[in-house]
Order: sequence, then C-alpha cells, then structure tokens
Amino acid sequence: MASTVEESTDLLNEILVRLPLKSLLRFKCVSKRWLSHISTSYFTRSHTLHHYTPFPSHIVHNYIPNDTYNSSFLTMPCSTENTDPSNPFTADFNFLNVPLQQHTYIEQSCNGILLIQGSDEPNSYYVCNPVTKQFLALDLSPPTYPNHTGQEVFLSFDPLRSPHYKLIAIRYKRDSLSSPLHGILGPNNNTYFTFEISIYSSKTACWSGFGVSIPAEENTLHEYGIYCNGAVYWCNKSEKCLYFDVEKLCFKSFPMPQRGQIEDEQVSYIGHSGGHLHIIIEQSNILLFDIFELQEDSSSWLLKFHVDLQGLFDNSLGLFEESFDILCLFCQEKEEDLVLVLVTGYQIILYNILDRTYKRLIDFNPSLSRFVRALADSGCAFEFSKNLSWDGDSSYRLASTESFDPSRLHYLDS
Amino acid sequence: MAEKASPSSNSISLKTVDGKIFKVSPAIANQMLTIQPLIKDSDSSTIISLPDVAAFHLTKIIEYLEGKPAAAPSAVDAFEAQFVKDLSPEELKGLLIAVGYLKVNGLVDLMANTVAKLIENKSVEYVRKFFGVVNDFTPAEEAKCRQEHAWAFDGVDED
Repeated sequence: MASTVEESTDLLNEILVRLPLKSLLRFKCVSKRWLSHISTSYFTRSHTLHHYTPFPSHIVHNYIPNDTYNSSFLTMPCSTENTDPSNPFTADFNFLNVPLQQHTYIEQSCNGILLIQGSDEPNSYYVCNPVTKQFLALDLSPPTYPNHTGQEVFLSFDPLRSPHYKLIAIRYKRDSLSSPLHGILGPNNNTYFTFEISIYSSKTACWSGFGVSIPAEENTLHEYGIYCNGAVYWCNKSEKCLYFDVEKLCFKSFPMPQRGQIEDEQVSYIGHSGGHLHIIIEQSNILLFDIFELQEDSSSWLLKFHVDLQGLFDNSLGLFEESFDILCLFCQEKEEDLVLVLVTGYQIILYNILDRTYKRLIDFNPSLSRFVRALADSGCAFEFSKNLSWDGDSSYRLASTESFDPSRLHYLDS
Repeated sequence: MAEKASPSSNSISLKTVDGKIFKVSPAIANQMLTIQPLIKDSDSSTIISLPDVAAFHLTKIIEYLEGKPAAAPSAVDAFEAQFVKDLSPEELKGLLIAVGYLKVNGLVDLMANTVAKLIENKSVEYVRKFFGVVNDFTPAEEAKCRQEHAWAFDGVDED
C-alpha cells in the first residue's frame, strides 16, 4: 500500500505514460528510479502506443554538403504552430560517434526509427532513435556472393504490430544462365534476377537469409526501392513493377499510374506517408502535377489530387518558381489533408493541397543560399514521428549479415 | 478491515483514516474496485475501513461518482474540468493516491491526466519536491544526464 505517489509504481506509470516526450527526457534526471522506469522497453512501448497517431510529427531532411563540413539533418515540425521561421531546426549525427561525418545521411525513416548510412566504412549502417540517441551500428559488407549488382537495405518497424524492428538487406544480380526455375517459367524467359535476401530481427538479434530467382523484365529494378507499410516497392516506367512483401517473404508485381506511359523526368516525387505510397507526376509544366496514391492491395493507383501551383509564386514574397523543389508530401491530422513541403527561394513552406494555403516554416538568411541549394539537392525528405521506441540493450553491438550459403537457396513463387 | 455496526439500511459504511464514517449505496461502493470483494461478504452492519483515504478525499470521490453525467462526452468533460478546477497541487496528489488505492472507475485516468498536466512543463527540482523524491544521482551523473537531452530543459515554467 502506497502513501506517496513515489512508492506506487502503478501510479507513477499512470502519470508518466501521459507526459509528452520532452517532459520525459527532462524527468530522466529526477532520480535513478525515474531514469530506469522511463528507459524500460515496457514503458517506452506503452508510451509510444498511448500517444500513437498514424500522422507524422516532423519531417527529417538530409543536408549533405560537398565540402569538408559534416553532414547534418533538419528536423522540421509538421505544423507551423508556435514555430519561429528563423529557426533552421538543424541536428547532427554526433550521437552516433561516427568518426567521419561528411557523407552520413538518413536512408529511411520508419515510425520514429531512422536507418542511417555511415561514411566510416563502405557498408556501415546505423539504426537509431534520434530522440533517445540509442543506436545499433552494423557492418553490412556483402558476404561471399559473387557478381551482385547492388545492395539495398530497408528498415521495417511498426509499433502497432511489434516492439521489434527488422532490417532487410536485398542484393541482386542479373543472371542469364538457366535457372532452376527455367522449366516452370517457360522457355522464353532466359534472364533472371537472383535475389539474396537477409533479414535481421531485433527480437532475436540475428540474421536469416534466403534466395529467390524471378524472371527479369526490361527496366526492372533500375530505380531504388522504397519501403512503405510492410513492403519494398521498386517504381519504374515498366508496365509491371516489382514489390517485396516483408511479412510473407514473396515478390509480387504492381502497376504504375497511367499504365506506365510516363517519362522519368515527369516523376517529381516518390515517397510515402501515413502508410500510403505516393507518386507525383508532372503534367505539361512543373507547376501542374497529379498526386497518385497506391491502393491498399497494391493493384492500382488512385488519383488523389490535381495540383496547380501557378498562382503560388510571387517573387516579392520570396517564392521563386525557378528554384522550387518538392521535399516531401505528408498526411496531416485532418483526414484527406495532404501537405507538400516545398523549398523555394530561401524558404521552406508547407503547402496545404486541399485549402490551397501555405505557411512559412523556415526563412533562411540569404547568406545561406549555398545551404538552401544543397538542401534541395539532397533528395527527398522523410516523415518522422518522435517517440521513445527502441529495442535492444546495447548501443555498441556490431552485427553483420551471415555468409550466404548457396545450399540454403530456395525458391519462392513470384 | 471490516467491523460490525448497528444494522440500519442497505447502504455500505466506509470509515476513513481520520475516523469519519460515510454511508454510500452499493452502486457507488461497487465502483471502488479495491473494496468490491468486501462488499459481497458484508451486510448492512459492516464498516469497511479505508487506510490512506481521508474524509476530504472520500467526499470528493463520492461527489465524482454521484455527479458524473451518464451520457454525452462533452458533458463529462465539462463536469471533470469543474471537478478538478479548484484543487490545489497537494490536494490533487492526495486524491490521486486515494483513487489509486481504491481503484475508482474513471477517476484514476482523470487524476493521472490532471497531475501530468500540472507537472508537464515543470522543472526537475519542482517534480522532486512535489513527489518527495530523493535525488540519488552524483552531481557528475546528473550533469551528464542533463547534457544528453539539453533541449528538453528549454521553456520550463518557473517553479
């Protein structure tokens, strides 16, 4: 029986689970007991679930300079409420203890956890929660698997399904030799992609691998994959594109919008928000574009919006059409609300597609023009949800994919 | 916990730590989960003693259970806002302990929310004093902890 709140773990938990992140990080300093309570995986999970929304709280964006400056990133709030436009919201990668930070960058953001590619070794990756500064360093040097043409690494984390995260390393090579599936797939297919897939689970802290061969079609996999809601999608201009279902461990195909009748340069953005894959396709000029969303069963695309930004640009307001880039597209709390994060001139603005209004998020000093340019050139930004989620006890453990054993190759139905 | 009292009505008698006896209906008493098993076995002559619950707290708890509107969420919100409005931080804390001990339906949520709102923007020192927590960090450990999340110490209210 407790006569103070401090004596009752239950009551303390009832209060702490309701506090916002910032208060909790501060209250880690109250006492050792508070620090350990706030750090337990039981608490971080219940806190994450208590405050869960499918909508992002922030946008993270790489800043990769070309010179000797260290890489950094921006963490921008998704709403301009109580923000100061002169605050550039910069953050750095110091907490990872990466020796060289020139080309360290965020590869992916998944429900509060980031996958970061380091520059200290050619295949060094970090999985981290930048809020709690917990991380896992990984060396993903491809093991003895000859002639692979590429390696891509993806992070899968969904706090609603599991407290654990997965890493998916996918390597592939084009193979024109006869495949063991040759007979099944028919004699006309003599080119194959052979995939080697290794999956790391934070639950078991070990890797498991398998291989799969599927017939290669023209243009398949000439773009980078993108992880969204349990699957990795490779969008390209071929009629049938490929995606990999991480749960069912199988490859399937999905179409592109407009039946693949699009040119590369028309695609101005591919990204995901709120568990949906989005693609932005320019029509006639860069200020007129269509936003498509992939349907839940990945069978077709829905034209969500036709956007016309021609009226938005006004040089006197610092909105310059000639230096305009789409950084991100994200879903906002209000249903059906989609917001574009745009960099134009010296500003980053949030443009609400539904009510056609914009708000200034960051107003850079014109002396930072080089910085703003580099921001626009650093690829797309990612949605991010600040939370306490972390799975794993040691931050310095080094993992590596196990050697790939060809005898363990088995074939899945594509 | 239970002692005999003179049989009178169908009501349950609850005795607070400061010696006051309250008579409540079984419907009200049943919403205090901790004493539920005692109610089943008791008759009208039973007095249930509540250590950790002062008369002030029990008055508030009964006021809540009797007054809470049954329907519209907006009416509940308004009632709950009014219920906690005039409570001092010390009273909030005491009431939280009482409802935590009695496991009062709905009231644990309300009190925990209210206390969380109260301390949300407060300093570490305020929180230690409020909950009577002894700081067991060495100065070096505390400095390291503060430095790790320096941004979380911006914009804190005056104590």
